[in-house]
Amino acid sequence: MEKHSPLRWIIRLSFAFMIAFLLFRLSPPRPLVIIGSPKTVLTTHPIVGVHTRLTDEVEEWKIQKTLQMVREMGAPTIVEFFPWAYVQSEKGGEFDWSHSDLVIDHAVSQGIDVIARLGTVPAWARPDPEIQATTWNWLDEEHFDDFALYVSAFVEQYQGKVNKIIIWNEPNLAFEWGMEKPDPFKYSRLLAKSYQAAKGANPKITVLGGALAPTLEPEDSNAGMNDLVFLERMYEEGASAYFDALAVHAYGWAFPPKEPPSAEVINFRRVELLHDIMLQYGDAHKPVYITESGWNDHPRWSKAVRPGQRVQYTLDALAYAETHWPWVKSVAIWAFRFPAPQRSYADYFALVTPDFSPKMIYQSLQEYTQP
Amino acid sequence: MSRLRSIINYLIAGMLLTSLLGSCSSDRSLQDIRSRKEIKFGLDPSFPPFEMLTPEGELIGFDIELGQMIAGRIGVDASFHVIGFDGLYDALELGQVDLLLSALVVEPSRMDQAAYGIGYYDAGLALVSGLSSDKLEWDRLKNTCVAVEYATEAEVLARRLQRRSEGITVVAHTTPEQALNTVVSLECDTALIDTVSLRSLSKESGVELRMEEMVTAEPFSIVARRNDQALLTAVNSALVAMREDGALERLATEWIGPLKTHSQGG
Repeated sequence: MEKHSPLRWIIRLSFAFMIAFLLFRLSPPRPLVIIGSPKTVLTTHPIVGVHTRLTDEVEEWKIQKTLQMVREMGAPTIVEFFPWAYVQSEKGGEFDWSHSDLVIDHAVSQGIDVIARLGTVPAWARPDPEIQATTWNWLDEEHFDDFALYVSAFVEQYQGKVNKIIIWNEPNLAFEWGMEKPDPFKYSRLLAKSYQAAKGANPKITVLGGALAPTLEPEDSNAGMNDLVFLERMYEEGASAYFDALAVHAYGWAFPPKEPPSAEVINFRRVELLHDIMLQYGDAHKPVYITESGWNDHPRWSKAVRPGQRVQYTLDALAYAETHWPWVKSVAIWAFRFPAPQRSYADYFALVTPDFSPKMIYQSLQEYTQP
Repeated sequence: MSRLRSIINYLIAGMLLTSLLGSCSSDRSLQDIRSRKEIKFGLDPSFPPFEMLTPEGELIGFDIELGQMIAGRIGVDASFHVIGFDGLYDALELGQVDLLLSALVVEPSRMDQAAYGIGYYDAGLALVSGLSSDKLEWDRLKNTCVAVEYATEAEVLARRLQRRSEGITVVAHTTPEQALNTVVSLECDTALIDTVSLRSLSKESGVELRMEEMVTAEPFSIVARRNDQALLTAVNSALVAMREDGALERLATEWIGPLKTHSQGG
């Protein structure tokens, strides 16, 4: 009986708590992150931008490290994604800006302009999965006003810090609509509502339409719609009044950047065909932002090139855009770094590994931009 | 209290025994293959000379022949199933194939679901020299010109060496072949190049270069489902035997190209 006395148990528990406490005290402290004094991006090529992937980066020091490396690379602009689904988890509920604040405050501190990509739909604004299975890109027209409210709240929250927003992403692909057939007229209506909401919150905000994905999918395809056709249909719907600039994606695949454009080919200079359509519809005054671009050097992917070609093509593309396209304000390379390996060819688009080791392309870009 | 403790102890012992027996009896991977007399290999035939398609649609390559030899040593037939590169692991997990044999490198982050066999070919970076040079070691290089392929891991390593050793000149070329040719033409003393490029150049142009040592390792492995340990053990045994009797090297020489080393007196 003595063996199981309460006193003995109390001693045992106290001992266990002491061990746990010691282990806790011995664990390494969290890195101390101080935003610090404002910095400036030094660059001889302000056209250089990069699409960061901080949406799923949970550790603040990694957010800071990423943006610091972007500044040191000489890129004054980033494109970053701010999902509605992450910010407003309940209908009519409060917006939780805690993570967005981290990204934007650190970007501002590094002297970097943020082009904010807004999209994705919270569960409460999607169909009941028991009735209809969707992905979190699904957005019915009945929730356009809810999305516009998010746009308005975002623009208001970051007035003075964020000057450019993109409404949705690759609206000409079914993947970006929860696998629903892309509809340029529907997207134009979403753009109109979002534009009005954004301007209502901050008349000086620049609203980017797009960002169109380069694809050759015919108009009747369920998977996507040719970007040239999609843009024409947007103009036919009167979308021109609802975007201040066009966002486009310009990938080179296996072609060098100077390869001439053609409606039947996806290459870097396809952007010129989209710009021709803008001119045709009287939008010559509007700038274009390339919000995704680049080459891939995966050893097993048919659309990839050798690592050296990737470096050379990327530098040549930047020089080409700077020299020949005065209407292009920024070329954002996809993608700076993934928080974790993607375990596919996508890893070979990154400039820096998940553990922040810079690839040769990072160093080459750094050399390119430094005075 | 002591009775309760005894019951708990019996329960824990019972659970451990059940799980041990369960794990032993659930691995029927090798038994299943033997009873159906076939191993299904999944691969993406877009990576010559390891796996590729002829214009007639026939699958050929190092991995195809290796798969046939392994199956033969286990006493079954081999069948090959074409899967896109990004879908290989999904196909394995869904049971569409038994093994992946597609020049795959070990990915530690996949080890929760996949198990990797022993390396059957090392595609890492090798230090290469001309046949007349003295034996070289990467860590002791000094006053040497090193040729590499531009913007690759080889260039990163060579630049790192350059910072810590005196007299290292790094010359980066657009292709691995160009880098190797500078060693052939004596413009550079050495090259740091992957073994596939080295063997391929030897095979295609007949140039004679020697591998001094492997500087990095990139072993290609056969991949099984994590729980299919019996099958993987049989595959590994076949690979060990093939390494010992020279079959693996013969395959490499046939499909990729010959490799000269110091031990061969080259």
